Amino acid sequence: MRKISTLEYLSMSKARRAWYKFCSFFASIPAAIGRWFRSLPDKFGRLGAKIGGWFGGLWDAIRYGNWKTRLSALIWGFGCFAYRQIGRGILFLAYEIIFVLFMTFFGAQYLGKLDTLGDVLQQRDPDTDLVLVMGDNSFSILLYSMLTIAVIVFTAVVFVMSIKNAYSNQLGYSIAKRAASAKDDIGQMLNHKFHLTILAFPSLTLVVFTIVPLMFMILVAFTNYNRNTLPPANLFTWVGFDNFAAVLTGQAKGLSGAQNAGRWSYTFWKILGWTLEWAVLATVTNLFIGMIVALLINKKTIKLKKLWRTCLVTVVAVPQFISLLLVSKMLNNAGIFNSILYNLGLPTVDWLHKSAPLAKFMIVVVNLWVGVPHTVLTCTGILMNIPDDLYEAAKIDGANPYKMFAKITLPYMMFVLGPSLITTFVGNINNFNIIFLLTGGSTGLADSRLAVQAGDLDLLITWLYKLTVNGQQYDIASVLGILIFIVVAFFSLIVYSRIGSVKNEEDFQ
Amino acid sequence: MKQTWKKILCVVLAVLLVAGVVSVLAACNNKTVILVWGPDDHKEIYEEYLAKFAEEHKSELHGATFQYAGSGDSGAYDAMATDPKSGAGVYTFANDQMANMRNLGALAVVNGDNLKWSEENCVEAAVEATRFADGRSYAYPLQADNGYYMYYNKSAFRGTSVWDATKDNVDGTKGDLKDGYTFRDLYTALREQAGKTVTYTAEVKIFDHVDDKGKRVYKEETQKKEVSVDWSKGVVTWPLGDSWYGSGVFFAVGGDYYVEYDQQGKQTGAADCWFGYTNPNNATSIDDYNYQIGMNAVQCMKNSITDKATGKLSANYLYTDGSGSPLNDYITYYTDFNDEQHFATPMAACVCGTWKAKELQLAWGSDYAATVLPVLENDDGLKFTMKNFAGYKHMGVNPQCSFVTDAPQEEQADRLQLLHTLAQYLCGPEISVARYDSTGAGPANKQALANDKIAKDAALLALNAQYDRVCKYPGTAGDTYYELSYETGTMKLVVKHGGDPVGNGLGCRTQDSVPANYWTPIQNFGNTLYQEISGKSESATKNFDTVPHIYRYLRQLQADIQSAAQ
Repeated sequence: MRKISTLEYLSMSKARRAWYKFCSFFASIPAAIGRWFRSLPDKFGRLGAKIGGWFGGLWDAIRYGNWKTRLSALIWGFGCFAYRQIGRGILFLAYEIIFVLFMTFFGAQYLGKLDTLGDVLQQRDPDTDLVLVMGDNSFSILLYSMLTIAVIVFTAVVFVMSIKNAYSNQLGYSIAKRAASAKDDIGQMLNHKFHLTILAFPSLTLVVFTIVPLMFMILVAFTNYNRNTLPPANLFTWVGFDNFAAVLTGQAKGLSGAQNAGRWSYTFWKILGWTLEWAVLATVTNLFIGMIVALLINKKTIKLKKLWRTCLVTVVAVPQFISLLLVSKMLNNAGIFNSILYNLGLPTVDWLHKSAPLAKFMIVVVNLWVGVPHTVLTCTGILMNIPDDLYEAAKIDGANPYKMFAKITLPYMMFVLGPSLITTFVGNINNFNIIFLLTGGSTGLADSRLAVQAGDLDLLITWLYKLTVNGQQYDIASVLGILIFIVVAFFSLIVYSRIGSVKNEEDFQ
Repeated sequence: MKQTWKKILCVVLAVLLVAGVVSVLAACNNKTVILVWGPDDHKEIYEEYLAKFAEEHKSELHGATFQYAGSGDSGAYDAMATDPKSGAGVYTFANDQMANMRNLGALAVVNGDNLKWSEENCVEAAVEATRFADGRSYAYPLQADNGYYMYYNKSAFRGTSVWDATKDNVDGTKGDLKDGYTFRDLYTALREQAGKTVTYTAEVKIFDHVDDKGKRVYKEETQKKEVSVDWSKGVVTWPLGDSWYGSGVFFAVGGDYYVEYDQQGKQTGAADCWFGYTNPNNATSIDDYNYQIGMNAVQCMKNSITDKATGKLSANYLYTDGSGSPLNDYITYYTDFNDEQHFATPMAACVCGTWKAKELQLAWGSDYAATVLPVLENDDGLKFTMKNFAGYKHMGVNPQCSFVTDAPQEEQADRLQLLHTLAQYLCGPEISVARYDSTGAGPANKQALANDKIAKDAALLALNAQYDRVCKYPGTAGDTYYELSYETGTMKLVVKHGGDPVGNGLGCRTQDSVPANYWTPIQNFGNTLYQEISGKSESATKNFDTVPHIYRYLRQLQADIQSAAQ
């Protein structure tokens, strides 16, 4: 897009200015993405320098250290024992022994098979089905390999610590003639380094229960782990980017015939389309209708303000899933709406199963019911905080109510609501409750080109749920999880970096 | 922060860490437990019989104990899929899960003396249903009661044009619906009852009583109640909008589908089933896709819910489906005497399975009856036998469970055999009768079937009347309905059902692993067809016969299937 000068811009009509701004926003997105990617090497470089700097101490220690320091690379803690630092020495040595035992009896056998995820198939007696050879368990190999890698990374850190410790002992001893004793260490752990003591346990659980499983699940996207290859009776293996290719382009050879790749991509794009459509619709309708309701309630002429707010708060107070289940019953064929229609002699409507557009419309309407009160409450808070003198000044300058709304109220609200809109948008992309509880993800009119488990009202997240819980299609589900992350991250980062509250942080302060 | 607090915090964290490790180690050293999975509502029965079995086989159990856990029909598969080793040793599952369970390696082959036990003690069709495509049996037959047939109230049809007073009813009495009756015959018969009020005796459940002291107490009891109804307003229900029931038409007119397995029993391929989709003539154009089969399905469905004279939706047909207006709920509305409003349109007949038998028996009292499904008719008067799914429950033995695999090598065979013995025991006559008494579960055990009560159960008799006539399973000799062909390195099970016109007997087909997209098109089809005929769709004013909307719909679905296959 051609960049225009300020003079040219100012000479445009208002409509054209708005259009120019709108276009330039979207035109700037590719460049912004490009900039971000171009900055990556630099970012990685800085990260690498930080890590490298820490490990760099190792090189100094080996190069300038004496024989005691160097030997402690082989026998951990030797550098401690040599300087009568018995407590630390024992800990380092014990860690080394435990690590060697761990690798010999546990880690190595899994890590050694990580490249194929196992090649010994379970063998059974053909007459009894008794298991003769248990065979490799791809699942265990992948999971425990991740655990082993985490342990190895930690061990590398301990190893460097051990040598650097020996080296600093060597240097320190030559000056002070004594190294820190166990008592000193304990004192340190309880004072200067108390943050490390207190964070050790949570960090450990974080690694074991979050990081290792997360790595595991990301790697599943590159395997063919699904209902046809469930261990231990079957093996699964690496398939590279086949699953991504299947989901994104419909071209993949490595998949089993039960589900052809074309179907995955058809379903993915269809569901992604509806997910984005839904997220935009739900966010925009909630924002504007919520804003209008908030403005109405905050109008000076409105009576019983507290009552209206209480009504809205009541909706927020009822758990969302209860509201949704209730509404889904109300929209049932024999629900209250149809009963009323029937009793009035009007034809009944199958609200959620008649057609996809009607069902989608109903979902958006129901979402207003559960979502608007939140927006109203937020907006009310903002509206009450807009200084009255702004309006007074505007009035004196002869501004009409519309002008005041467009120039004062709206910018003020958007400034505050901007970041929360992102969370709402992202929340709507992953709005499992409303889709699943209201419709189960399908009108029941689903077209036969959709992949297994998917329905025409499914969001990516509900499809993912169905794929894992009912379909055991873990490979594709993992791909979906990664893609959802990318979609969400993309929108969050782009929008966040371009909204007023971030760009013009000082404006309203 | 004070030093003392810091120390305490450290100690607490250390204790948490140690406690975590200890509890994990303790869990690993648990005593061996043999899990048994089955339905929740049979928990007490299973626990009683498991205790007896444990007493009798104390020495062979090696200190292991039994633990029963409830699991739904598909629950067993989901739980087993996570880890067969920690799964049940012996468990019940529906036969459509057999290929999946086998793929998990969670089913031990049943052969030798064990198979002999099955063949001697269980009904043949159920034993056949335990065989996989490779011809070997992988489970013990537990229940043979999952299918649908026609329930009806005799007083609604007695003396009408559909009634055959000389025919033997399955319950042993004289008089039944005529052979080869159609849905339209039922509607005609009901209208013949116009102007008459018929009285029959129902049994009503009474929960509320007044005791001697005048105090209200809770006590469940049945009482007889005289019910007078105008049967011309009666309704017949058949869930056209539910694909499980809609399949009855699909198979009747010759709809096919096929499932492919490799030698490990993994499903490698499946055709989306639609009318005539198997494409016997290698057709390249959509018009060659056995269009007549689709047309027959449309016409049979249409003719089953409309009146012959007007071609309009019959006033005596009550529409039900799988979700919006579920069959089971509707039957309860219409048979529940507390819901008096439905007396104006009483239920005269319904297509359903054994799970509604007890309820209907109470509602219809001595006039309760069940019989085989009606026949279907296309516009040219060609008749097709309506079919159903034959669903079975099996008892499987898991050779990977920890009770077997954690034992020393030399003990493993004995332990596995013990599980086989347990499975046989749990499919035995005594416990089968107990299960029948509790929930009406229809046994596959011959001895149990000979039990006085069960032998007179009209619902099971009607169901068996259907099973016995054609139910064949792949691989059996002389089977014309299924084809088992071995291609290079793979096995292909082609499930075929030629549209057999009336005369070849009633049919059902076993519900094994159906292709993923089997259900939706059929449900869609039934739903849309009903909407169209009842005038509830957007094109309400259009006449079904003159505007072939359904035909176009059918073509669209066929096109969908074709594009998906490409």
